[in-house]
Amino acid sequence: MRRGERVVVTGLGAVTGLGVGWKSLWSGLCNGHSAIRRWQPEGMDDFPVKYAAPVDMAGLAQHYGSAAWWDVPMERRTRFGLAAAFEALADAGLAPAELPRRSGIAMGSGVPERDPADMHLALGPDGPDWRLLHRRADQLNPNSGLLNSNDHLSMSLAQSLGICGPSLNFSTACAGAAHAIGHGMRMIRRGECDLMIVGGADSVLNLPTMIGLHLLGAPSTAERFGDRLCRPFDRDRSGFVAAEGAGMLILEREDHAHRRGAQIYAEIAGFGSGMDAYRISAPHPEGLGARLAMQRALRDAQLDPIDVGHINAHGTSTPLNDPAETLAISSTFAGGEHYRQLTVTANKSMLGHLIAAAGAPECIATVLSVADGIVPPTLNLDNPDPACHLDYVPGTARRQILRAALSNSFGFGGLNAVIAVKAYD
Amino acid sequence: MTGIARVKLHLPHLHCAMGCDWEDVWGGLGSPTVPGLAPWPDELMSASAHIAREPELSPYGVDRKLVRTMEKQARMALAGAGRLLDAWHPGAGSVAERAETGLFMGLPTIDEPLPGLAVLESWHAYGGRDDWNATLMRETPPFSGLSLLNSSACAHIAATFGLNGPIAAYSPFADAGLSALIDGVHAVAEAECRHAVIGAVSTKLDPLQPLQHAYWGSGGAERQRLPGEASAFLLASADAARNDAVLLGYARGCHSTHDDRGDTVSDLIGQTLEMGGYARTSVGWVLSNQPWQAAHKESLSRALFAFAPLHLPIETRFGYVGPAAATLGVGLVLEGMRRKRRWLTQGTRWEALPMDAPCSLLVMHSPMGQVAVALIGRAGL
Repeated sequence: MRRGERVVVTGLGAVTGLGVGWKSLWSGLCNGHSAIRRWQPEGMDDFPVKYAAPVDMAGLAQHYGSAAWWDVPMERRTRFGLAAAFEALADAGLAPAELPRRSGIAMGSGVPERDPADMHLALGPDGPDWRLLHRRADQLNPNSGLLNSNDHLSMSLAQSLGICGPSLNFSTACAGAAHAIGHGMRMIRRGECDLMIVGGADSVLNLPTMIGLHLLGAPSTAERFGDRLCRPFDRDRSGFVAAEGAGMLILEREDHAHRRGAQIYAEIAGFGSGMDAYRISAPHPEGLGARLAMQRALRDAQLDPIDVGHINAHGTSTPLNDPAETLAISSTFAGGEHYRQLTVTANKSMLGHLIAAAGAPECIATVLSVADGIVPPTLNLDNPDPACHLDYVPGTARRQILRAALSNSFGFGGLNAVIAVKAYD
Repeated sequence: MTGIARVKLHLPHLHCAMGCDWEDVWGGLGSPTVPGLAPWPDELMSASAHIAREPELSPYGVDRKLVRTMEKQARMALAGAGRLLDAWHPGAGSVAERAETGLFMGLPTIDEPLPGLAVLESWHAYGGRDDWNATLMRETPPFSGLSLLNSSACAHIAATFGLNGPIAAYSPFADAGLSALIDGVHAVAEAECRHAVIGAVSTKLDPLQPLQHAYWGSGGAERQRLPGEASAFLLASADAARNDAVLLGYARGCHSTHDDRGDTVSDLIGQTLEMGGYARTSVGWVLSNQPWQAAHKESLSRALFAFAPLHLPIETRFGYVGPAAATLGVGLVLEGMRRKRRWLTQGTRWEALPMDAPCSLLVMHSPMGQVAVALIGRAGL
């Protein structure tokens, strides 16, 4: 395999239910704070899904309300993504005018946000008619996904920053952001770009999308545990908890980062993906595609399994994912029973599931675990499922010096992606 | 990046309004079929559309109940991939090889009215008295979360045909289809997999499309634009032999303002040719999408300066097919190389001429400003 330049992380940005900014994210995760709270879709009080991890829009407006882009109509996810990207650039010490010419963008996004009221415009006195909807097009919600294609974030960012390099949007369900980060790394490594803004943004906290997820039985409808509902690897887990937000990373070619004296958090050393080829609505029970993705990420990063000390798990708190991921990790790190030495954490126990964006804040957490030597805990793991037998760092963060770590993201339908992060020295 | 020139591009397959067989489609380019009636009122956009026939999925053993959860674009993608995999390895002996085969796809967003017009009709019939949110909850199809997720198309292909290799999916426009080609070829070149299925699919035809086309701002050109349905696939395999078709070079970028459109396209074409080690005069065939937009034509002319190789505006025959324009274009190039022929337009007249230049260039634009360029030629020349 051809080896090119090392790719390093020089900037971070995040908007999550834990607050605005990556420091809020990292502090919240390390201190075991949960963003999950009681939630209902706008205008409803009896929706079966009772908990979610929404972004505090008032808090976001305090930070970015004066920005030129704030008043432009856009989906929630685009707003989160722009905020996180601008934070990441500032964190990297880069003004837009200082971006290298060969800069690019790679984003992960999911299902467009829809406003069901838009279709009301089709209703006339004689019933619905497409002609009416089209004649009233100027009344469509400009913040709705009906008018915003799902590359809106990547192109809004390109236009805001004057970027004329590649602008890619990945659609691999819950692995979208991980794909964007992995492919962004490869675009630098292959010499296509010197700098990439990578990550993802998503918001499923709208009625049409939540109905669709609920009908698939994916989010938990339980109320028994209150805001401790997201319980990855616990025997009482009952589904994921939906969330929204964004995470962004600035990736640079190592020599480019050095030349401008940038801080370096860690190296994105490898990426791997793999398909379950099993069922459309369930993961492979032994985590086949997940295992292949981890193995490919290790090979791509030229890491031996024993080099890895920590895994930031996909850990959704769904009945099927968690044991399958446990098996995938166990088989990937079976040599010398290394899986017994690994710390495995599930950020979703605090953040909820950011769906297409999930891989981005989780990759940020993995980068910071490697950089700071701290592994955040898995919350609410009161009664471990006997099928989940790894060290999930229950309850409290732990200090751990790490040479390398993996960040797992597994998309609906068995589309899996894994990022390998190495300590930078 | 020379590794990509060792990856063979072969076995193009398609599913489109002109048919599912390259013999029919290639021959039909000179005398295209009459488009069908678009599923929307004719005052909104063109009244015609290139409608692909419903794909036949029963040969692949897909359960009828599962098929009902799939939008037409997912069904077209499955059929296109299935035809390719059948041609590659008919029979059961293919399973082991497929386990290491990757999948790289360009996908559109799924456009579906939420709620559907039938729901609105029943709501209206009751005088709009029902609680709207309760109606939405009651009437939403149980698998809509699956149907409306565009990446489900990849999951269906992987599950149906047993693909365990690397995966990536890009969206939503024609540049995404070319990114699937570029990264799929890299996956093979970098030994991530020995073979990669590369494909793209258009969106299904839907009355929401005219709204979106108008919003994307083609200055009224949407009325001349014939939408189409299509999927197109090919295989990338390691160890290309001399004269096999290969990806020689590529470049991706975007123009963040309309003013820099021509410069961006020109730069990207220059980068692509430089990567492939060819001059502009080596390009014998240029295939692009969105040819009806004056700005695109102008930018392409600027990029190619006085040199004007034979140009095929893909969508004048296949309709606006979004990401599928890219892989349809690759398929046309591979077929052209096999036949040593290329199609060109002389006004409204189409003519097949000998292919006497070493390379073909694909230029894919998106309405949002992304551009991807790829150069395809023969290995080892």
